[in-house]
Amino acid sequence: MKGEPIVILLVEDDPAHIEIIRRTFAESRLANRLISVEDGQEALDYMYRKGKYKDEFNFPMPNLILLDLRLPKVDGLEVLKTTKADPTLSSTPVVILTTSPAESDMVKAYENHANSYLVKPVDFTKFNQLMNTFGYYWVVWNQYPHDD
Amino acid sequence: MISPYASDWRLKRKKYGKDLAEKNTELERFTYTVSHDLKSPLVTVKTFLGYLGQDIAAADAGRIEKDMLYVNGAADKMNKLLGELLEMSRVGRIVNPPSEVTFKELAEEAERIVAGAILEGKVQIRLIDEPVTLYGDRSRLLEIWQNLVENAVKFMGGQSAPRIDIGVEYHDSETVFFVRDNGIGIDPKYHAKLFNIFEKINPKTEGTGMGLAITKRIVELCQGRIWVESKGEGQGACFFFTLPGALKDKKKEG
Repeated sequence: MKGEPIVILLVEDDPAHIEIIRRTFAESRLANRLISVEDGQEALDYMYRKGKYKDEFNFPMPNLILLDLRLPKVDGLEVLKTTKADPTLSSTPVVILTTSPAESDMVKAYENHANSYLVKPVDFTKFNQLMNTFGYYWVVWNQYPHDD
Repeated sequence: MISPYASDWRLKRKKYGKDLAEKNTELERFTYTVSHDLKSPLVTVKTFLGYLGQDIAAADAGRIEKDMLYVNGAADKMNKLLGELLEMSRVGRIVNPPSEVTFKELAEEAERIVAGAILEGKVQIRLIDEPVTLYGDRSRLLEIWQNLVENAVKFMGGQSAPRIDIGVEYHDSETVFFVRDNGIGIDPKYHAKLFNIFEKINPKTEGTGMGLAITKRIVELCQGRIWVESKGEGQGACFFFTLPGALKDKKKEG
């Protein structure tokens, strides 16, 4: 990495959860840029630079997608399928972050090539630990295909 | 040779099997949605309580206030979701004695209930009367029109001449009711999702996304179907529904 911040696209419809994720990232002081969109259609528009997402400077292509499953308009699973089926997007890691521990969701996510599956813990300390570990793993240690 | 009796029975069994499978899928989706959607605000409550602890220790008044807003918001959301779920479970479980009511009476009463919002949105309502009489749980039947008219008013968008038509059409021998608006419309790709519980196409709109699920449930209890037609955003929407189980014969026209 050349000190460029990692761009994370957060797809999450609950404003409280967006705030939690923003706070944990801000507290960890890791170099990253978090951009959030509120539904599956917005996520796809973003990835395909449609509508208000044409501007590459304000809406850079994400290095990582943090995706909730239950979303308005287009489901998280649909976003995952579309992303992974498109050769220009398929190498971008997609991490599922959901409240659902349902086996069926997990299986479907992995079948559609999710790179990781995380369940939001109901416990404060655990949620913090999860987000910190997540931050270190994906922001500090993980190497991305677009890095030269 | 198979007796006509046996083949009839076989057909029936096939249909029951299919109905049961459909009910099972519905129940599965129901449980899934409820557990997910109720857990989500719980995560919020627990997490922001954790932040509150930190912020009280740091005597950060600004953040304490903000944290409390999030906790409050999540608790309110849970309360609303539970209220709607209870409402949903009441449909079909608590049934008022059936009575006779005309289509016109129901449409007019729905209009009266939503009058505030109609006036505020300067919405023109047109009731296209047809001599149709229904027989059933009056307040549930009323809820169908009320929900649909409420939605139509709510999703008018920037329409300068908002209009809602309430009427009846006859498709072959089927009596089909409709509520049509010239509001923001619904993209066809969301039409199937629309009637699911807690489904909101636009996360920013008020409500829990339960109105259409309840409406569908009432319609189904009358052995009917409900569907939407809309060409897409900005094109208005028309909700159609049938109520065969609540139809009183409509042939008293002359």
